[in-house]
Amino acid sequence: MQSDPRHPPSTPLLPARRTLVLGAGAVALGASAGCNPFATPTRVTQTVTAAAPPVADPVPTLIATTRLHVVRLANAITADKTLAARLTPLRSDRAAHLTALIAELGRTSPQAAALEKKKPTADAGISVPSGGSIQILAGMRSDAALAQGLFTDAFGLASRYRAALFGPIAACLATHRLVLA
Amino acid sequence: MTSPTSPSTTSPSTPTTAAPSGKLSALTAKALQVALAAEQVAVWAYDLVAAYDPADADEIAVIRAGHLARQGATASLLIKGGASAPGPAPAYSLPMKVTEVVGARALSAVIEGDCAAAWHSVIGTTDSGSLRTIALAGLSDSAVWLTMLRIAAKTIPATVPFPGRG
Repeated sequence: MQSDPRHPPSTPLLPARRTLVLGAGAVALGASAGCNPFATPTRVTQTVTAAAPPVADPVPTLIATTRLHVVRLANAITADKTLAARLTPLRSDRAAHLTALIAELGRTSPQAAALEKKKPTADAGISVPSGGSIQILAGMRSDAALAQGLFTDAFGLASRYRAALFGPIAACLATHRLVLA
Repeated sequence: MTSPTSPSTTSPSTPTTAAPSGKLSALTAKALQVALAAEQVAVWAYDLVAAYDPADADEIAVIRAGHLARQGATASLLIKGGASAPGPAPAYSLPMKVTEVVGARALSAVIEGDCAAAWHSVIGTTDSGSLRTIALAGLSDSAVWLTMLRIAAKTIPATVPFPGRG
């Protein structure tokens, strides 16, 4: 059969048009769905939930600071005997704080508390301010203020039990600043 | 509250009623009512202390004013928190006879010890940071005032290691 050249052959061309339309539709649908036919398959999106770091226990820091201040008070008494009557009761208070803090540490970490108990509360190598009684008292007053700030900071975030320990120590340190003024 | 790094020592911290919003728990309200009662006793008793300890009149005036301010702030705190704030009694029975300066100073020690203990109890009843701050200010002020009076009386030691803890 011979085709009429005036009319394009209709039947053979229909599947090609459909294929073209369907192909374009598939690409458009894929693109609207977020699929990129030109993308490489190595890009993978992952959702990672990062856990917050654990809150550091403030007690070891408070113990270290308290121990240092006990030593400095003892060395200040040694350096200037005229301050002994004033500083010895303060040293006793701070030693009591140290004992209480180590006991508190022992509630959650007996091994760490045992190590703390073994550490000394005397060290002649730790210096105190030189220049006389006024300078020594100023140094001890600075220690008390620093410690009061540390305990006050720890107090706000502590458990009720610990807050009931840190609060009185912070209050005691306020009285020390008065005695040292 | 005062700055953690430079807290007041001799002047009382200004009592505040910037309490946690909302209703106080029954436990906290009860502890605050005990603290309020202790402050009311202090305001009343320091008139008597002043009468028998004229040498410490300046310190006693400062201390009494501090207790009076804290009494008002605590009452406001209770009312804002939906609890009752009982008023002061007309008079109180004292744990000791006060007829001279030694007795007056002993009474002031009892007063401040009671106030410190009451505020310490408040600390143990709450997780609220603002309420803890208020309680610590009450505890610290009582500890400092007691030390002021002990220094004035040349009492040794002038400090205690754990104010408010028995």
